[in-house]
Amino acid sequence: MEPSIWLLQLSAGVANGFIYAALGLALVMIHRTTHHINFAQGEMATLSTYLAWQLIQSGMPVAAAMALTLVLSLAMGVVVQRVLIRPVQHAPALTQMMVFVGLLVSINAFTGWWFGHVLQAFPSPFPVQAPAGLRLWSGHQLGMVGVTLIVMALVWLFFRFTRLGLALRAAAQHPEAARWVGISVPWMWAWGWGLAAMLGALAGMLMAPVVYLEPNLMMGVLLYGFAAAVLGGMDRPQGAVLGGLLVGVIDPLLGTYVVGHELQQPAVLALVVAVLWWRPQGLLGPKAQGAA
Amino acid sequence: MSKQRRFILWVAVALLLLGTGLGLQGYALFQFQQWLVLVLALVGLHGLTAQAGLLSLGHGAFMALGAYTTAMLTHHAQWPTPWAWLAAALLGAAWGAGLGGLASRLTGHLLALATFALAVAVPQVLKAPGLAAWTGGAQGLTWTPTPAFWNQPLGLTLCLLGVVGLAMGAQQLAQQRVWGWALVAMREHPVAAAELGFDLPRLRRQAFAWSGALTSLAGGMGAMVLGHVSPDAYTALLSIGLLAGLVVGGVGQLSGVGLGAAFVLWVPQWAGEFSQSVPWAIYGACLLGVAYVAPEGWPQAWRAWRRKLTKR
Repeated sequence: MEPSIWLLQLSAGVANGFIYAALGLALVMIHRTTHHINFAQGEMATLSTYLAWQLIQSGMPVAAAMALTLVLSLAMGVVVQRVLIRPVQHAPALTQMMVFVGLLVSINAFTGWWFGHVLQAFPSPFPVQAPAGLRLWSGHQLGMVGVTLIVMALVWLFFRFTRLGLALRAAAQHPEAARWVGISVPWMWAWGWGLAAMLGALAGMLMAPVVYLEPNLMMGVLLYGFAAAVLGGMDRPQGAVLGGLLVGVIDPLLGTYVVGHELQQPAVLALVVAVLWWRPQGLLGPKAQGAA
Repeated sequence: MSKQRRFILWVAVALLLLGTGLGLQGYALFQFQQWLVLVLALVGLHGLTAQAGLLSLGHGAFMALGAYTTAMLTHHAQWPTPWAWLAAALLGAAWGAGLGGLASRLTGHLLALATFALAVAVPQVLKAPGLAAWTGGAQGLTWTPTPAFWNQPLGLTLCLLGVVGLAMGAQQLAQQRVWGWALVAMREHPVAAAELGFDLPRLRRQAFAWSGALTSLAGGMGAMVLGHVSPDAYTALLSIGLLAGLVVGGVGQLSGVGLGAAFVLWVPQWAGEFSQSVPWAIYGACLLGVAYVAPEGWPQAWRAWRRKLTKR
């Protein structure tokens, strides 16, 4: 029996939702530690994806190129934080936003200039067809879901069971106390940026085979990742995953059955704003202490 | 600078601008009008983002609102232009007051990203086929205004000069009164400002409403300057450009909006000839550069530099 259209859309939405969740997690990771929103998260991810594409073009196997890109993205995140963000760590919010937006615009301009605005096909590391019984998803979609789930589990294990993960959590929850026990809090922020860049790169490389690779690849994904993060409650990693899945599922359904594809993205964003109106702390956030 | 000398300076600048407006013709006058429109938009953004510290990355949406309101009222409903402008300003204020409510729920960078989402969504909404009967869809609207005084080049220039002058005067006055101080207090230390008895949610709504009214009016007047509105004129690039203009003009000074508007007007025109990446690159470089060199505006940066030099 052929699955009905809405069931296919639902499953595709879930698969895309994991990508939004990954980018949302990246945003949450930085927001939790420093209360910054990294506007350039999506553009950094696009740059990473181009890097992987370049590596694949030069003959490297797809999986190896992706693994190497993840490591390089980690390094990129750490370097960006140490060089560009640290000087404005305690600056007024407007100055910080100037840096984040400046970074977004600059990286976008760089990828456009260096790699061109031509659409590039990005290969998927997964087989075309999913194994029998899971045919609702294509091989790539199943891979997207699987890899994101594995990486999320790894991130959780890292924060839960490693010394560095513990130090990162300490620096996020109580910077002063973390300093007293000898944790270098500024370096923890840099590691947080590195991890976020890695998650972003993952999202970018999984998204690129679905659509084509181009300099604005992650602009829409950034907005959905942000929607996922605020929907779940900006400081809740579980919330970002829930929010990502919700956005992923609602997006195609709204587009097909309610407002039409032209208004799909505005409608999703409007819906998120409506939810925030009703529940400013997000779906999984703690009870609001009243934003003064 | 003494109060008297400052006053003389302002009058001199006003006379100079009036002379320029009367003296220019053709394309130069058109550019001057566009510059005035952007000055007005930046006065609105200045009050909100620099003064009250409420970060907006979506002011292009206000310009679109004003432009389309004016275009639709003058084109479809045959309203006289000044009434359409008034409607644009009022709608901008209403829309701003709504966003101000959101500002009490999303603070700091979250608000900026939410307004950015708005800026991205606006062109898509304007292009929607369901609204094409009113908005003209992807092509936008082109119309021939009636030959009334304010639709002639000279009348339009005088209207723009008058509105910009009034807006800057009002903004300057507001900054020197309790309302302006309250906004600064809210920016610098919200908890202390609330303790002093300021109603912060109300201040946010007011600041957003005032800013929205000015920027929406700027969009409406800009639509009359161009005689044309199209969705692609109000993309996220415009919103980012407005922020870049505000920043390049100097964050602390209202007078910096003149320089900022020139930046927003001519950089894309000039740089767009090379490649579509170049205007973005310049915006990015300027935002990053100013953030590190002069985050509090040019006079402060200049003073800091002089202090460094005289120390040696």
